[in-house]
Amino acid sequence: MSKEELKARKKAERRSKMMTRMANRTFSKDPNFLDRMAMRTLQKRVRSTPVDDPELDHDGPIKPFE
Amino acid sequence: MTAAFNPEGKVVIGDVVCTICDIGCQLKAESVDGVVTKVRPHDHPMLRKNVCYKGTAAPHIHNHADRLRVPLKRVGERGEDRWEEISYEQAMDEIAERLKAVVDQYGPEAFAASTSGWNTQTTHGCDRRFMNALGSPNWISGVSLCAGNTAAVNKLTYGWFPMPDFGNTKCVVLFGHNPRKHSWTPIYNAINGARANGAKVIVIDPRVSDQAETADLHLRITSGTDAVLCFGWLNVIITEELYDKDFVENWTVGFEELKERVSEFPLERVEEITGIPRDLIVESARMYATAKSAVIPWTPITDMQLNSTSAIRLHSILRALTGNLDVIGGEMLGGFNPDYIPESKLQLHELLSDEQKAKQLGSDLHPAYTYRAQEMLKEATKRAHGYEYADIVMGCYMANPSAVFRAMESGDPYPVKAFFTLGNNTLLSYPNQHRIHRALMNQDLIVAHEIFMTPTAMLADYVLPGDVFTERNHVADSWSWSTRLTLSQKVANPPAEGSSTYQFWYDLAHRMGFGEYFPWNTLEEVLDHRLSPSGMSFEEFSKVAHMHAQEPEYRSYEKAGFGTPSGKVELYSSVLEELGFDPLPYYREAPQPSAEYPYRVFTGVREDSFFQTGQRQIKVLRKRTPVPRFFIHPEDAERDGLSDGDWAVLETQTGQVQAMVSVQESMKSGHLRVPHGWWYPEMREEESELSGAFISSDAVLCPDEPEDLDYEQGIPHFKGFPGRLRRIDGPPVGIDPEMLDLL
Ligand code: SF4
Repeated sequence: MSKEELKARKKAERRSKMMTRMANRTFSKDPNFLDRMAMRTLQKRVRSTPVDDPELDHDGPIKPFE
Repeated sequence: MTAAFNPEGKVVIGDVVCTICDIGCQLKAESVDGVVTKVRPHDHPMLRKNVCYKGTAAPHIHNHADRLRVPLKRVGERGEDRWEEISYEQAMDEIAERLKAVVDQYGPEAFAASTSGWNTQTTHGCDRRFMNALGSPNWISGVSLCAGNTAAVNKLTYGWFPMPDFGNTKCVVLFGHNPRKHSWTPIYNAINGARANGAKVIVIDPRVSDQAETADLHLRITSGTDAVLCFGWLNVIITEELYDKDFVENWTVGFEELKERVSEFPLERVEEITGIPRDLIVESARMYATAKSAVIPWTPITDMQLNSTSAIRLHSILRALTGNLDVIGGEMLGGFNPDYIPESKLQLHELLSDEQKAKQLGSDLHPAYTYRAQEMLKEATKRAHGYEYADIVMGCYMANPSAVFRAMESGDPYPVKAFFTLGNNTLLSYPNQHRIHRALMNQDLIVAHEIFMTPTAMLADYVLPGDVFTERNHVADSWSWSTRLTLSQKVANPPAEGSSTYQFWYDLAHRMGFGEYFPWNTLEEVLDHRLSPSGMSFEEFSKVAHMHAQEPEYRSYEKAGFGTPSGKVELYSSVLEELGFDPLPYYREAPQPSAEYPYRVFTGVREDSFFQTGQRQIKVLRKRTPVPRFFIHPEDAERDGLSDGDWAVLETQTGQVQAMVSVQESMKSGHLRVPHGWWYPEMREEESELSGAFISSDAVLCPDEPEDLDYEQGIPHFKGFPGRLRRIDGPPVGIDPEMLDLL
């Protein structure tokens, strides 16, 4: 591994640790200001909308083997 | 029994960990008046996609009319399915009395238990704790065929079972694994996330599976030859010097010996055995080895082959040689979670004497996941991970199931006369079902702890109702595999006469005279104890967060070495050598198809609608897969005069089963896929033996004599044994007509 690659890897590792700390803030059940900021940042990054999958609903028609 | 939950007519919403399958999604559950009404996706942005239709069907399961609610005592002949209802207290008193009698007559090793941590979840290692206090080493589990055995074999190479870093990886290699939207859903989402981040996906699968359809490379391997493909990859990686030279030099032992073994697998030979064109082997090996980072996630396929130990070790070796161990985007050796006491400690393996450990069934012939092999790692595990016993995914100190059933059937090498099955439909969960049946029929005492009546429970003396995930508190740590703690909260009432598996072992231990090993009166007290390193009680934890992840630690091995005797990655395994096995991976050919048995049958296949042998009575799930189906290629269908929708019987040298034929272009010709775990709850009222347990169950098909098993672990060859198909007139009698109408 070249010096540049090693440097880049270390940087990515630092970022990953930071992301874990941020994720932990977003798991808070009693969020403070920093936790809420973390959640807003995460929401921008993840952009995941609420799940809209009709298959999760068991009241509708069900087709076998689909 | 589980303490009463009193929501006082309120709507209660909680964070729960779904245990309908093994993957443990965190979901939201709602209840009204103590009855669960809804289970829905979590609202956290990182978690909301991690849900499948089995999870949202939880209220249909948890409130089902057939759920066991009262302890049952057998009144007819064993297996006759005639019962009287008794109280929990009476059942436990009688079970304790009868277990004592077995132990007095035959010794503690005459007691064996089969549990499924996936289903029961909240045992907290106390099944092993109970058995270790009693003196029995004969604990078995389905994890011997699925993940647990992979964990134990990974430990032989580098001391731990790593977790893929999907979030940062640049290449994902799926050996037959096929996570889908409604099966292993979080892994499916993680793979999609990796793809979106630019990762390549390589799929190795005889079928054009869902994952194969979108893969960058698809290698249509002949089933059961994974080890040979890995040798082919190593050949390319070593010849083209694509390996991490610094890591190999500083952190591995046995590279030269490995190189020599790999040279026995020139690409022509690999091509011939695996059926994969040479240029594709080279291209895929390069793609894997030159990716900035890469993962080979756990797969249920490599777990279950004649060469399982070698193939799992080869995965480990590939990870190490390409420098993907404990680095970002690679595979993380997480270690024990410092905030949570692991089950490894709660199990009290140190209580069991060496004399009793030596009696562990199967450890003579197939020691890899038994005490005999794993205790050779004790000092190394302590040096690297701080504690001698590391029971990752419950799989590291097990007896061999086939050896246990042989002893139960024949008394050889000693009698096993009492058998407990918890959340585990034993009869359909291991190979050679007819032997398991004979073994169970030869018991003095069988106890089943279940949420529904199962074919196995029908053979029991006592059947105790269990609880489900909405009815208990828990903090899940994926059995030390992940470094994350996930909260699960009780929102509903369990049956008044039901118990958690922890409560069951606790009550039995107190009746058997060793209650001092069970000082925690409730599940919440166990959780307080387990969370004590974090400085929080369960109640505090559940108010603070619904999840907590450990910060990743990279190259953790630099501190105290790997958890192996040499402290390095053992390409050449010192443990296997000392046990008298080949210390290097190798290939052993499985029985091949013939004119008489032309198919390569692969079993143990999961369907989206069900987990293992469960949920066939849950209409909203069963309607999605009303009957079992054999998948075959059109060429094979034509040769055998079969059409889509026909019914057929599959015969192997061990047994036969029936299912509907599904002709699929996506199959590789000559291969036949059999779904796992089929029985028919609707046949309970019919004359059918044990609710149709022998009609369509794949466990009937696979042999398990010692020669049929992987040498080191004693794993059967579920992935490609010979079989033949014959058309029959129609479906088995007794299938729910509503299900047949759907076809
Ligand atoms: S994948 Fe489905 S069944 Fe499995 S844990 Fe998640 S929601 Fe439950």
